[in-house]
Amino acid sequence: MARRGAPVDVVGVGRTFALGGGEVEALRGFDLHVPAGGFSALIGPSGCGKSTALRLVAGLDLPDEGTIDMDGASPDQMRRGQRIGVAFQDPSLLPWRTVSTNIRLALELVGRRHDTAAVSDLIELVGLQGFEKARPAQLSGGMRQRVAIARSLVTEPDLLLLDEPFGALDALTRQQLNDELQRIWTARGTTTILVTHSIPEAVYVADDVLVMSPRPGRVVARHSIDFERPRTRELLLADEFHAKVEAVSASLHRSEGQVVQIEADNS
Amino acid sequence: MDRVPARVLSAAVGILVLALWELLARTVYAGSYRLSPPTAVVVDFFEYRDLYLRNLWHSTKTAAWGFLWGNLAAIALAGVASIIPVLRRSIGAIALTVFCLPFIAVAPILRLITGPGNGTPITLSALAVFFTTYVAALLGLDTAPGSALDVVRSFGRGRFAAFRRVRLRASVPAMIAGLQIAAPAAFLGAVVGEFTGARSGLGILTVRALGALNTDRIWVIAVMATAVATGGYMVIGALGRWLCPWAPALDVGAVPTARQEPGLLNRLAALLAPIIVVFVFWYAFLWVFQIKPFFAKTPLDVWAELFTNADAAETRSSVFGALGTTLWTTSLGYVAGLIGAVVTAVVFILVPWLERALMPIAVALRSIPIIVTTPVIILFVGRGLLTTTAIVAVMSFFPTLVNCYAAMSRTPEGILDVLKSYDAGSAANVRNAYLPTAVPALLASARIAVPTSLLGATVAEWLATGDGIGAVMVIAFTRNDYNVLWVSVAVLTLVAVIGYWLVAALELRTLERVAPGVSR
Amino acid sequence: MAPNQFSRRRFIGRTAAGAGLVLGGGRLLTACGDDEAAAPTTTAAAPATTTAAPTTTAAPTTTAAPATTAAPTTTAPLELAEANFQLSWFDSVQFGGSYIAHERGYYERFGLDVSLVPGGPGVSPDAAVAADQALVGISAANFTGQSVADGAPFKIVGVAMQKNPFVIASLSDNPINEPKDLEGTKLGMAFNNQLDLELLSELNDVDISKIEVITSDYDPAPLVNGEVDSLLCWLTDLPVAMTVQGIDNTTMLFADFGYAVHSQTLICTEDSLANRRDQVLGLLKGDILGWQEYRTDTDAAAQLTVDLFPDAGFDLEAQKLQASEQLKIMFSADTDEHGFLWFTDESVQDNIRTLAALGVDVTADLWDRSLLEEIYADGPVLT
Repeated sequence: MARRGAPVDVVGVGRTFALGGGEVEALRGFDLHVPAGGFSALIGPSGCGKSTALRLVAGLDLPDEGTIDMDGASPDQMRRGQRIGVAFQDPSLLPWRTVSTNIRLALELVGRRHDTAAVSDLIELVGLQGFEKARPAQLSGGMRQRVAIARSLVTEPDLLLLDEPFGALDALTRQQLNDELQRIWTARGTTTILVTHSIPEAVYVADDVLVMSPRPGRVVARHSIDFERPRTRELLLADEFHAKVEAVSASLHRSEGQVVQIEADNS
Repeated sequence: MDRVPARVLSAAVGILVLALWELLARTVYAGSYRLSPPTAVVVDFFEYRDLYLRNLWHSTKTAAWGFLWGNLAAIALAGVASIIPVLRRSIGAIALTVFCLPFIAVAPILRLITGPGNGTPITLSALAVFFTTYVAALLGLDTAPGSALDVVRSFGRGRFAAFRRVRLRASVPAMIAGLQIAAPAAFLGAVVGEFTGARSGLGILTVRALGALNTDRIWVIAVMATAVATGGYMVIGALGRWLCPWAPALDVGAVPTARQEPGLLNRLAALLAPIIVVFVFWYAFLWVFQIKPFFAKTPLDVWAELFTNADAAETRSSVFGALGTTLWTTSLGYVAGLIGAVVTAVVFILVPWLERALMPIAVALRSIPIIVTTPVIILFVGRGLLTTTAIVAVMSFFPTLVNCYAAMSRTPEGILDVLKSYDAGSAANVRNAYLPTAVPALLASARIAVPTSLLGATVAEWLATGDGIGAVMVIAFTRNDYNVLWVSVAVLTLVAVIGYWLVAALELRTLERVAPGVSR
Repeated sequence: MAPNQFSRRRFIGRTAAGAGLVLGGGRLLTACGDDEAAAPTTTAAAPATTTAAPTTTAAPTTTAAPATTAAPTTTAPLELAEANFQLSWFDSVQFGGSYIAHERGYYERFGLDVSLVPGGPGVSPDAAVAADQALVGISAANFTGQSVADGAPFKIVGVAMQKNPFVIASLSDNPINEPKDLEGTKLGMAFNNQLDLELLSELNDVDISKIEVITSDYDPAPLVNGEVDSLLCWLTDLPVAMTVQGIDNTTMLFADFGYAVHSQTLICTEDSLANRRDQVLGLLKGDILGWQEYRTDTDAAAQLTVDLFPDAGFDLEAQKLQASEQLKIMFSADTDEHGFLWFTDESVQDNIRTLAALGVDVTADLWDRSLLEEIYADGPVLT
């Protein structure tokens, strides 16, 4: 399969915020490597700086130290080159626009306003045919999230960043969207980083699961997931899947106990 | 600039403005009897401190009584409307009509009922606060959490218990927001009321000072009135934060209108019922106060004066001619004020340090009584049609600016992040996020601004320009032509109500498109 | 005038006003709801009832007891009839004679407890009288004429300003001395004086199209600034303010150029004239006594005004000047011959003509001189 997109190399990144007189160190010595066309999931305890890391990679924020490189470009250059697509837990749709014009927004912003074919392709890809003219208020939470993902993909970005996009959804919808996400990623081959706090979700969709320590956050464990694709729901019942989930879960628990050395698990 | 504390910036801008003011007053406007330097204002204040404080106390006291009665009535009626929904539309119609009545013509009529003394100023002051508080209180009572209401109902209690235990408490933040707007309005009502014959107060002190070429005094009064009106606004805001620390800051200017019932028959009823109620109220008013026929004109008299009397054509041409002038100057100022407010809000959003420096001043200026604004505006734009336009623009500008900026600053971070991730520029942010987010606030402000703009226009016409329907009303009054006076009041009120409805309809259509999920 | 009397009066004025402030607070509630005409005028009424008691000592306890306002008759041995006298504008020495009458108990002498009710831009004295809120009001012949033409039952029973107080005021280095001078200049005036200007122009063969009229509120600043060349105003206010500020000015009275409109006219309803005749008569008599005294010492009247109304922030010099300027239009050969408030048949005819030109059609029935004829039966000075 043709792999597209940019590799991501994050080395020694630190980020500290001023907060009401004091300071909060969100990240320290944060390293991350995602190969071109790879799919990595970031997992960690609440408040460990997952979202901060994602925002830094997206060029929405600047690190205090360390470097982030994507195929020779900085996140800011990637952002300015309009090569990034993002989706957050809050779908952040414009309530006054319809499904198709919300998706088109991204195209407008990169100067491809008239690419209607791309919009209808994406609507089809995320399974929203027939809802083109609906406004966000008329959609369910899962449908809104699909619109957000379609929007993040419509510009054919080199890097897709997803910050708990399914966090607020029920388990069933969530599983459905995980299938969709996998399908889309398989079809497009875009480098993807998914922030989540659901271990099964991470194991189900990603090539790599990276476990972060509590604040100040850094990657303390890396699990390669080499289940065959396309992964199906039967995998959820398989023993090796559960073993993987257990392993990730164990390193997540250890990370909360401040385990410092990086584990390499290539089982 | 972004790291300088807002307080320091505001102070710096304040000092700059004062210095410029002093400089202008001592040079360009020296000897013009128009602009007093701040130093002279301070000196004059301390020289006549007792005089100023006595008059200030008098006006404030009057405003406080009007504030009390007006708000009590508004909250009580909102309570009735909440418990007995059938009455809601009728009470709302009367409240809106009262809000749309032109002060300057109502004052002399009120004086005939209350007689000399403080009755008219207090009543005017109460009328000035009634509508906004009513709307705010009703909104507050309506927005009580449904689950809490269900809890009360699950204990087998009725509407009244729900009202007392849940609705009343839940309505406090919205009510506070309404009261905040009411404070300066009460002050304006009191000051206009003083023109109906008082012995003390800032209103008549202003008139005296104008006639006596006492420029320093005019400016001392302007500063005091601004301080008191702003102070009232802030004290109530602080009270609200203290009473309801859990509640977010609300602005009643952003209160959306009620949804229309579907169906032609319902709509017709919805349209006719308030009209009938207002006419019944009109007759009841005349009957209750037993006003002599020489002064008291019924709807039929107004109709006759407009259409069937011998001089009906003359009345029509003078009233509608003047109304045309008023509407033209008012709409120019209204639109200019709204556009200016939106543009300024955008600039404030894009240049945060400018916002931190100037917004506190804008919030203060929002509460300045128009009587005080007028001489200042005359100073800058002279007299003429432009004066009315400028005064109306100023009246609609500040509240709209404050509301629109507040809405824009609540634009969801997520949307801004999405835009930023595509490297969207300021223009794209404004077009795609800030402006659409501010639309509901803009429309709500625009709706409230319809009657206040007409009020501002008639006061300006009376005080400064001598044009339009404001002048027609004053002339009718000085000549004891009560037919023309009532005709003018009726026509102008009707115009204000229709204008309010039109904007409300536009608002409803827009919100229906965007709502219910106006980006949380 | 004895100095001790003088200082006593000042004292009364101060305490009464101070007490009024306190009283006002308590009374607001009732003033709002009740149709209580006398309520707010207690400030003025208080000293009246106390001075009415013909005690020789001015003990502070009596003067400082405005509680008597609640029941004014308790201190006065005489049963006084309450009556409101509606003034035409805010308090000032313009009504100095009435203040004197009030302070000196001249109204009480004729059985009346008079409240002097201030006016203002939002007050129509005609309407107050028609609504029975005042027994007598101060108006002007044009307003009253219009009201009567519209069916209001008024009579003019006395004329305080024999000459109309309208003037064209200008700066002395660019004077307007006669109506013709207005041509080619800018005139500032309030918007409802258009007809008056038209009439003046017509009477004096002035081409009104050559006058550039600029609407201004009642304020001398436009003239002083040079925005206009002249102002249409009253002899006794804006010119006085300018003089006090040291600005040389010239005034041209409308009345000297054919504009005959009685001003500061005392009006009452036909009903009052028939059924409360004694009270109207008493009010006029008290007022006349006050104005006769005013004429003898305008400075004292100014001082009294300043003392009575501390909240107004009056400038004493301005009030003194206004008080003396006012004499020019209030007293004339006619009043010397017949008495204050008098109006001749001839002046009534002049008024009818002027008013007709202003579009107000009245007859001589508008005026009723019977009260004045009764008052001055024994000569032009009331004692």
